[in-house]
Amino acid sequence: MARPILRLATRITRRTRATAVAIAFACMVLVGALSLADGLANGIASVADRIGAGPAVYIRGDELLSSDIDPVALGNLTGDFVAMRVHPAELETSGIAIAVIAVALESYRMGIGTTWFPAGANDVSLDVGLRSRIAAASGIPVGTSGNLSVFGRRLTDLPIVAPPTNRSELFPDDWAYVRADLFVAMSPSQGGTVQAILRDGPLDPALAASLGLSRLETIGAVGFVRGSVAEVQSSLRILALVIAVVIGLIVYAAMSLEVHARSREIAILRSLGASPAAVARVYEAQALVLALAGAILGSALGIVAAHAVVSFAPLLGLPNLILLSPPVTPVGLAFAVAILAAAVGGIVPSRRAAILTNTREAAPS
Amino acid sequence: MPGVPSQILAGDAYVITQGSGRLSINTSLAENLTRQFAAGKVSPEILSLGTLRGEPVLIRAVKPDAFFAVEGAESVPSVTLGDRWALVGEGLAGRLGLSAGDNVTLVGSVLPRIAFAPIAGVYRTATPANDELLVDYGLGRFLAGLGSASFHSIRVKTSDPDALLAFLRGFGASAHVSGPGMPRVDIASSPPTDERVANLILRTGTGGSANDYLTTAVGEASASVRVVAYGIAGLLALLTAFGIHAVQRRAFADRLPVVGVLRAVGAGNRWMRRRFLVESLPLAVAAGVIGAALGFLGEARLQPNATLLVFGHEVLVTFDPLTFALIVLAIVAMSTLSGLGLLQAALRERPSVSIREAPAVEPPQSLEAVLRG
Repeated sequence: MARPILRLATRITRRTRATAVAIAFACMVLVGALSLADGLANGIASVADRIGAGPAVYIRGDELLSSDIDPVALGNLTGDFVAMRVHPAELETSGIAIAVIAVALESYRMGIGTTWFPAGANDVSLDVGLRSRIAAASGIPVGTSGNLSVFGRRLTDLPIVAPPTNRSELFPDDWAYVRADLFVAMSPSQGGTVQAILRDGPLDPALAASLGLSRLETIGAVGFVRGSVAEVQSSLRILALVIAVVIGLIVYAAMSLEVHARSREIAILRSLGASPAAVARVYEAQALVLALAGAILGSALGIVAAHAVVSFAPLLGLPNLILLSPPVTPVGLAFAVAILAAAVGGIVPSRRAAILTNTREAAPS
Repeated sequence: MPGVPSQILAGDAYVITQGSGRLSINTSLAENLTRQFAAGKVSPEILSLGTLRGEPVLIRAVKPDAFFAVEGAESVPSVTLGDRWALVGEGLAGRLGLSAGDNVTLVGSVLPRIAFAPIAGVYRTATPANDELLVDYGLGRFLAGLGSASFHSIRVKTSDPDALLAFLRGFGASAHVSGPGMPRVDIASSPPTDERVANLILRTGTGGSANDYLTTAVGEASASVRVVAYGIAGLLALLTAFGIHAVQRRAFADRLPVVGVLRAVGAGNRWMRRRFLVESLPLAVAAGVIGAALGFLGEARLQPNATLLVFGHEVLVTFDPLTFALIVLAIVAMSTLSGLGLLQAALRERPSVSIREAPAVEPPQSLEAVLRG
């Protein structure tokens, strides 16, 4: 029974040919549009990959301030790194209260963490920029002691010590530095967690993934353009849905017409002993064959169209960064969309064909 | 969509960026421009490209009053700013769930940097700047790696661009100026280099950039986005043309006998074409207008829930009569060309052939032949 079904499903008439061409055009738009967006992403990535990214910073989640890395897990990390604890705080000194960022840096070597700075357990080191801000706001030089409020707790009369002698280029000059122990003492739950890990080189991706860490791109331009292209790509995924609906409608209209035109033929098939399921299979298979043919033709056209756009754009005064690559994903998506849409769009006509012998128009004359 | 990069940089003001000559976009020029032109309508700005909670965000260091005047923005509610602050656009705040009192992590633009900014408030504007983060100059300079007196651009809102150009020439600034209805003017400067951004970065090293990098970068970003946008538009136009032709072909098949009868009673080819245009043009125009209007209305209805983002900015769809007219014109052109093509094919047939009763659709192959293989 499979061979006759296949033969019936692959009959080519002018109408079915037009349906396949329509599906091909829809797939061409999908493959072409996604190829162009992927090409832009490739071009951006090729530039971004050539830019030195600076120190590798790892966090959990997408916001450093709310990142919470379990300090126990730090023992699993090899090599030297710095564990960074960061919390918004309020500092009262020189007669004013000012919102500051309080930071504790702990250097890890061979799995053992050491806090080198500031030296005293309760010391608060104010960097030069923060000192200038305090002096400008209060009109007097920074005092020798102050009160620090973090996690809703307030520590009073903490010694204010000199700025750090060496500061990473990553950091601004207006942070307040404390020891990690101070945060832990103020709140073991909130102060105990580490917000970021700073390394000279990247972590093994498998290890980072096992710890739930993601890299924070500290050169924003790189993250910006990558994220921007991802935005365009995700918007274009919606185009796939629209194309799927278009293909579904095309197949539905074409197969409905086909079933209507062949109603007498369907009645003959039924009278020869074909079951309703076999008749339905003929038309469902025909929808899939048309979608497959359309997807193959459309993918080829889409690839050609994308290359044509990129090649001719500079002639129109639009030099660009688009680097087209083999469009495996767009083609795969086009095939999936076309076949799925055709399968869904063909259900109603094929079911109608299966029950057509009961209707007046299908009765053999 | 293709205009988003230039909208971000300029909006509807005149934008002055660094030329290839001496460094000019600085506090001195900004102060003199402010004195010369309407105070409060001169906005010196530092732009940083960054990410916020994983999303691309443009961070703009500004003087709030000047920026608000240029963009027609307002703070919701009005806030008093300290020395370190950030204001978040309403669109961005809505997308990322940010509100006053939050602290956010920012990163450097072209140099590896980490900084934190307290969000002091939210502002609202009807321009793409509604999706940006504003910060104070100190933080902006740290993120952008810019010198203490420099800016990336100065935007001026004036009704007298000639006076602006004359002032810049007299001041001896090296700058590129562009704005609404004005092509780019290079003052004491070579035209922006057409080198690729990639080449600039490779040549100058990590984070380095040429003086007129911003103009080049915006030009190149615009070109790349334009190629993608126009490419997709072209493909969709092709699909639309195919759809129109398919529908017209099916409709025309039913009217072939009419063509044959008219020709048989003496209608000439030119008269037939004229008749076709008289009948089809109003329908094509009506269909184009209804279709384009439905598109705009549909977009307006979807707007709050489905937004298209480019470079971290929502693409604002406004009713532009010119775009609307062009879309209608394209639909009418497709329909007319398709119809004339079909008519031309019918005119090639003898009238007797056209009149003959024949089904519009090719009869299916014989079932018997198919079953026999």
